[in-house]
Amino acid sequence: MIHHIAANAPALNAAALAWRPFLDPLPMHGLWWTLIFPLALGVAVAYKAVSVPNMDRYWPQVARMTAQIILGMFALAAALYIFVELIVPLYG
Amino acid sequence: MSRPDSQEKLQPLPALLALALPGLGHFALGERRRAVMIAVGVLGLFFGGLLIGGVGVVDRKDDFWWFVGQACIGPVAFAVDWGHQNHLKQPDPVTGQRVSPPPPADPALRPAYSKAIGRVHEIGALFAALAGLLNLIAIIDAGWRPPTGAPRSTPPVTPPERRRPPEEHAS
Repeated sequence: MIHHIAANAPALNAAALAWRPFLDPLPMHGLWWTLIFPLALGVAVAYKAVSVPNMDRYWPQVARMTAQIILGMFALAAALYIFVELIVPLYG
Repeated sequence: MSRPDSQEKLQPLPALLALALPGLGHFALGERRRAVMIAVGVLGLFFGGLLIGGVGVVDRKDDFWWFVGQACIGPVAFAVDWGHQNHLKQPDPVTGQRVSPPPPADPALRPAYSKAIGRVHEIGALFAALAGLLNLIAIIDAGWRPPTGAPRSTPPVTPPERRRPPEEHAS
């Protein structure tokens, strides 16, 4: 593992140096799905700031909504995967 | 039918301040902590989208419908788009119109910026558009929220109807 990283270090350094924040897109085409975590957190932070009546319970509410979004999206992805890959071929 | 409370009428100033800068409307209403969290959430999502997809995700000419959502951020979105259109896009040699720079044939010659393609572009644009739509909710909330300390009117609570005992038949 360490040898693999060391062997690719020049390429990784070149990619990191090449990336210009806010001008170039992040080089994460293979890991795009991980962006759901900051997306869910950002939506929960902004939405709960408007909707909670009492700010004392703000952060637990944010954590709960973030988890709900992430679990909901993963459940939706699993349901669509089962439908497209398993159920549709039965009738195809 | 309940009559709307006078404190739930539209207050234009906080709504306009919320449109000018995310969180400013709630700050003016005295909701300081709420205002800071709205600003952190909305601007964090917007600039997070710019970080993910690059400045090319805010483009009122090429991605108009994404920009409709992003525009609810207010002047910040228009300023980013202005910079993108006027300082980063390059004039096309044939038409003269400013367009996104094409990928260079020689990787050593880098354009002023590179427009994302595929999912990274979509996710960056989605971050920025969701930020705008969340700010729209904050604008509406600031416009109708009573100032700190004033109670919010609640609809009158009607007691549940009591079930009357069956009338005894007179024998």
